[in-house]
Amino acid sequence: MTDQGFGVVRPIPGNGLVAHVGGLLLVCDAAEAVAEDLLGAVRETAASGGDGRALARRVAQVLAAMMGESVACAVAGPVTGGVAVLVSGPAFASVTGSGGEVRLAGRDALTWSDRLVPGPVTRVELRLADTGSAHRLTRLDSGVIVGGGVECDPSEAGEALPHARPAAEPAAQPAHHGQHAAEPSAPSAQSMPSMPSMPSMPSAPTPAPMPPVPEQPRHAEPAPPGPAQVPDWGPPPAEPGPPPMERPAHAMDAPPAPPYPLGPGPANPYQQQGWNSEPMPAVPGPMSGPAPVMTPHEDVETARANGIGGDPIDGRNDSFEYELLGPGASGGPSHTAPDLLPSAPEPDSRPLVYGVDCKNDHFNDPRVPYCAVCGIALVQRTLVPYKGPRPPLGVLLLDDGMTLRLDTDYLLGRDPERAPEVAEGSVRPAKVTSPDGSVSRRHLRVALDGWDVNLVDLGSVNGTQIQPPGDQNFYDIPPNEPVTIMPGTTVRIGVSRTMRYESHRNN
Amino acid sequence: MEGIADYEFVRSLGEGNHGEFYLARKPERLPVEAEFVAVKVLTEGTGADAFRRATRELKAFAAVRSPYLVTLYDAGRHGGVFYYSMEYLPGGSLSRPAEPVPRDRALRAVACAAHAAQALHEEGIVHRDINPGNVLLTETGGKLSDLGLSQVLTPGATVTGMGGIGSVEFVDPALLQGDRPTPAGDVWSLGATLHWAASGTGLYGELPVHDPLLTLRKINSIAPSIDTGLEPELAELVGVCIGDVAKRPTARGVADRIYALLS
Repeated sequence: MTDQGFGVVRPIPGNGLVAHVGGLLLVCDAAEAVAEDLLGAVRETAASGGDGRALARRVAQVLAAMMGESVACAVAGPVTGGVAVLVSGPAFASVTGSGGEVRLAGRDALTWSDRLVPGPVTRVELRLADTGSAHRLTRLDSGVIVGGGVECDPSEAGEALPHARPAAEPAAQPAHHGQHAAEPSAPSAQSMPSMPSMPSMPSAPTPAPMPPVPEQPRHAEPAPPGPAQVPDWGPPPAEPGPPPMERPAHAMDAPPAPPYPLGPGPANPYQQQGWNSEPMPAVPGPMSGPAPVMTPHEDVETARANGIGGDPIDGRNDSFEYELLGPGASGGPSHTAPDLLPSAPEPDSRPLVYGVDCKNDHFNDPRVPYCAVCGIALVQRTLVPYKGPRPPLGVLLLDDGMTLRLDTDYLLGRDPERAPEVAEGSVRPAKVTSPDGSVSRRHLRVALDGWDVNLVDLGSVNGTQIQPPGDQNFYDIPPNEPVTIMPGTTVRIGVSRTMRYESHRNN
Repeated sequence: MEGIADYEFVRSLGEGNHGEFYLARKPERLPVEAEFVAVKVLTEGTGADAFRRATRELKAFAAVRSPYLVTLYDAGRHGGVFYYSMEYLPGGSLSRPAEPVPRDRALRAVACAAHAAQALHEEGIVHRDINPGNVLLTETGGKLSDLGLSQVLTPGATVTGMGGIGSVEFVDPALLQGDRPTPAGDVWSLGATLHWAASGTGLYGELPVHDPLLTLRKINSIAPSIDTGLEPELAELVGVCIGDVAKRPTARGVADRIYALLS
């Protein structure tokens, strides 16, 4: 439930980081890598429509991976009927809900403390140690800043609402019925009218007293009645919206929009700010054909993709994106290999290296005595090396069975995808994770140089070790320095992951 | 796991090469007539780029018309987890049939899979993951399922981690050693699958499948060998499928020869 905001969020000055993303709050003071992970957890939760509970779970995973190192952090996010809060290390939280004020201090806990505070919640404060107090006129509607905490009053609403907000919520709208996104270009596939854009919003109940609905569709709380969808967001009218109109039967399945779980009163248009705080791209990605409408924020290569996720999803109330594949979803193959991605991101041009041909025309490393392909002796031949396209140098076999073809460089780590060299296409990402968190985000580069396979530890936290063939011992490799490995070398990445370089070459 | 996206899972159907299959109720939005669908949920999280690549591959697969290809319905991403759905065939697969499969029927299913592979090859698509778990059984024969997405999800990967390492014994060793996927590689897999369907054993004998590294080492270090108990014609067909690339039959050739043996 990121749709409900915390009302006005006021940053408290300090030296940590404060984030307000997709209606979720984070305050932390930690090493940059950890802070990055925590921010990632918040962003991922926000993008996948997770609520405060999901946020707490993900943050707990980040903290668990720290293996006992104390991290000052506090997070809060709305859940149905209240607020979930988690605190760790020298940080504090105070949430005032229906049962009065609940205070949590991360120091009191061995690991971290968390709590569900039943609403309506009238005040949320997260702070680090040694902070000042919030200035009355400051606010953090969305974003990440340096600070020491946040203070918010969910009941304090919208006087300073961002009026300039675009009328259409392109990303959020189609999700009205349920979690999924309708695809405008394939109406027959959906038979879902674009109801949310209709000002008359038949399904919107009055925001008046109504128990929270537990299984609410995520982006679907559009709906303070009618006028709230209009760019000029006046407060919702006291009267309920227009009488329901007829609509497709299955639309009835959508549970009624719940009231704002956080807000004490019905009329709190500011609440809508929550889903707006991480703007969704209006054009859902570069897909042609039926487009996934719930395109997540660019930034969100999710925590699962980063390997810090992994909690079982039940998230029936999370958003998702999909594309129809079957007949009728799109045209033939010609329509489906679209302009979007510069298609196969694979550079098909193999680098040229000096080598020699064996008698059977297999291209070889000039240093080896036998042909790598057919095994024939190369020594008797008088060979003149020439430049030719380099064949694959073998494979890396990871202990979970992943097999990487060594025809280009790789970046191994828990989150290799967004590294600049990966983005520019010169290096392939290979995600390697470990339950103990000992693999760094960008841990190790496998760099091919001529006929050699080199390893470069990228200054990883837990380092990289190699066990050369025929040797019982593992040896640390220095960071940021290429080390050539021979086929048969076992490589330990971090603490618990291993891989082996296999090749019929260079043996 | 109880569901993903708007799919409500009924039960697990077992593991695939890099994910798990579930039987699920068809959500209303899908424009197909079926009560149930099979949903494959990938074990590893998937970034936006990998999702797009995979979706593109699946769309290309879905656009190929063949009565012997499993129909795909949709592909999606939910909370960073990639899934795709397809027609549900209650007969199960060659490796996990719903009921014991007579040998003739198993061979016929492999022939159907070969036809399906041919259809893919004609559209320039390599399946990359033909194995008994992907040959699904129908009343009249079989259907080929589940395009191998390892390469797509992790560019450069010939086998993704997590989940059944077992199927590497059906992968052309050239691929494991770094060659790019080709139709001939699919034919190798058809040969191995045929061998498995006919003899009940793999080309490498027992594999230490609990240890992926050992399994891959074994496969990389020993040559595949054909069960001596196999009829000469079948043994010969398997032999050409896994033999010299230049002499391998096409997928259609494999299908025709299996049919010839059956009649």
